[in-house]
Amino acid sequence: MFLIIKYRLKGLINRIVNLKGWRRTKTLIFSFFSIFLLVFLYLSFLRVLNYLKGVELIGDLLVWKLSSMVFVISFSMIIVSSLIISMTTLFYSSDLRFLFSMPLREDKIFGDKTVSTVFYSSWSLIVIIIPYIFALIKVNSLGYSFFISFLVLVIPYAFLAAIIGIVFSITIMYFFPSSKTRDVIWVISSISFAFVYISIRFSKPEKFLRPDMLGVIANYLSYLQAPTAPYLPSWWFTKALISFANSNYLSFMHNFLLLYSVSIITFLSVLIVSRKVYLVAFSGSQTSPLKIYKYKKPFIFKFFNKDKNLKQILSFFYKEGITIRRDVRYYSQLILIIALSMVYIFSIKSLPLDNYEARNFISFLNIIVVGFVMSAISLRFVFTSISSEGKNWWVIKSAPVNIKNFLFSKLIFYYIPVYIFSIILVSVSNYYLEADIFMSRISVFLISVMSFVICLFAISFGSIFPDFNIENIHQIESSYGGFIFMAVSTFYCALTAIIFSYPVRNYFFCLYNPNYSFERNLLYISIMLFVLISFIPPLFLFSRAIKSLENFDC
Amino acid sequence: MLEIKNLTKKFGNLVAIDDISIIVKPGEIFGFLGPNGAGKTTTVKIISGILKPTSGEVFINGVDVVKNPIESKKLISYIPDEPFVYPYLTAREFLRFISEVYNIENCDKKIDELLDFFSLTKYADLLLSSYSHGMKQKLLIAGVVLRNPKLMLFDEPTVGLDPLSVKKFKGLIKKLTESGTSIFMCTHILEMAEKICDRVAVIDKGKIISTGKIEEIIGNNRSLEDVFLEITS
Repeated sequence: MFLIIKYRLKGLINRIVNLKGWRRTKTLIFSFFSIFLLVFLYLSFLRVLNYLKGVELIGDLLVWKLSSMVFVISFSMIIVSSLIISMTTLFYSSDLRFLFSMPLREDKIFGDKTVSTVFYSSWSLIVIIIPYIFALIKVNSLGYSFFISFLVLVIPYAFLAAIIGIVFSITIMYFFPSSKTRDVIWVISSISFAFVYISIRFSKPEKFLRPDMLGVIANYLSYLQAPTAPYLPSWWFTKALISFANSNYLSFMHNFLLLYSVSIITFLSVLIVSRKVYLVAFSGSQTSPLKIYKYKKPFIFKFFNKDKNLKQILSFFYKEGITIRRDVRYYSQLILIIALSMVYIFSIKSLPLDNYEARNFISFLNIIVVGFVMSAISLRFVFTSISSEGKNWWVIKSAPVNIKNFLFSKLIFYYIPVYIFSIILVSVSNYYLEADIFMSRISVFLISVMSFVICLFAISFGSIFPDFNIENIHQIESSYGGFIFMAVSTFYCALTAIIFSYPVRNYFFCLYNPNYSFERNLLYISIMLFVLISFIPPLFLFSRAIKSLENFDC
Repeated sequence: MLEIKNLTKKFGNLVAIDDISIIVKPGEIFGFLGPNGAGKTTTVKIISGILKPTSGEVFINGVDVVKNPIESKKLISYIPDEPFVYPYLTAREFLRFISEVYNIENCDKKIDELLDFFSLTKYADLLLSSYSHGMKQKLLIAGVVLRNPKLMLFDEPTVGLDPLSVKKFKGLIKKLTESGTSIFMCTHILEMAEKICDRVAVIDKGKIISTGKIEEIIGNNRSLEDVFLEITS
């Protein structure tokens, strides 16, 4: 197992050493953006933690309570990532057939793939937690040895989260070798997971965060001091960090040993079990469904038989639709997105907003939050849609295809669901917030344009930073292209908020001060500015993307 | 039909193709031979418009591949060395997709005939993810024939094909050349090159080291294999 890992590391080092020219420049740009974002995150975390620390008497408790919640959420996010990634790494990696043909024991291959899964499902979250840890160090005046203790503890923490997804995937593959049954079980499992998640959220855990919801202050204090999910490794991780911060090294060692011993025992156990089950599960994964799919000419083709360009666009559209419809891996992600959206709307509904201004202010902020949500969804589905052509890219590249048509078909294909989804999210939120007609109109207008622009950004950056040799789509999401897309998209959402904050503020000011009249010019200028930033830079970027993809050597 | 003029392709400091020139006439089967890493696949990828050359020109029926990529791609069809196809499409859907992209009208009957010719009718409505390497290769050849191009580019076309399919393939390309289609084929199978190619070029380390008719290259009492080993060693 360590032999495989050793050669993986050698491969990685070779890639870094051989970075030259434009690739090196792109990596440097990516590094610069990453550092910028991490500093921004650090300052934001610092602000929040400073505020909590400043709360009289219970400041420390609040800081650690928030930390334990951050670690529980990160833990569950690693589980979800691992659920999705492990299917590919354990069963569909391109090197698996080669590895299984070598005189290697199954547990060695499984161990190698487990390490890969743990790495891919956790690295980005750990990188995001690092600024939080530094903010924690600053707020609590802890030494940098605290950071070292974090680094030591985060390994078993991430491992124990990822192993849950790995065990789930191999169990499904082992017990349901038939591809059809497996697909059904995979979807049912995703629905169950989403159901559990929604149920937890609908139980309104936030009521414990509001002292007024509990009978007496003592209950609130005991809640703050109580462990957050005491049986989860995330609590052992939090407890170890709290103990280290309080110089309680006995408790630190206790939790440290708990994390490591459970990790080692779990790892060894799954390795032993993998000797019996991995090959069987892998063999099952190599079978394809033998279902008959009768060809039906799409009805719409009959109407556009004459226009060659439109016909080409429709054929890409059709191909994309079939691929998504038949790839069950998309289903689990769509189910999770629907679950997250339901939770989001429920959270909006549950907000304790008693007055008109607060509800409309949240309605304005909601546009920006939905923009961020759209960016995250576009990163997963739209940005990756170019690279997901994969090794089949030669079919498009060697055909008399206008790349503009190809990208345009992708753009429209993904824009329609993204638009519908964002409109539903904004409209339902506005309904629950009882937003007034002005805010409702503004939000529908903004989100309609923003969802298009975000999709345009996603397609453009996906074309400028494609990787057709990728085996795991998550590698594309966490590539520098994905990172730059998210940074630009987030910046665009923030800029939109700044531009419209003036007319919105003016509107509410006039509403409460009848002596003043609403400055319509301010609104028109904002709309003009918004249209300018929404169309000129993105369309310029789109034209660059067409050129970039046309000149891309594969 | 195909004219390559002083073509060079560099990947960083590596010169993959070094100033090569080739002419392929209409109806001709041209074999492009060479050891691994000689530059065969890079050349075919440039002709097909997948790669851009560093310098030099490629014309297909007088159309510049770099300046008019869409027009030139209408005249060619290409099969890569590894048959990657969309795993979630069926064979019939894949051929329909090709026909829509290449704007081929009324092709239903031809698709059925091609599927039958390559013994794929039974599997025509199954997902391509369930296909073997050879079946995918046959499907791609069917896709090429469907387009009826002026120039066909093959990169190791018979790898993975069963003997019957190889025989059918040879017969098919002979028939296609009779109607004026030219074939540019990279291959390692010297026996096949010797039997079906009108002319061949041998490339090594990016340079063409020999070109001409098979008999001109091999001379008397020698096989193409002997000559190939001699000039590339």
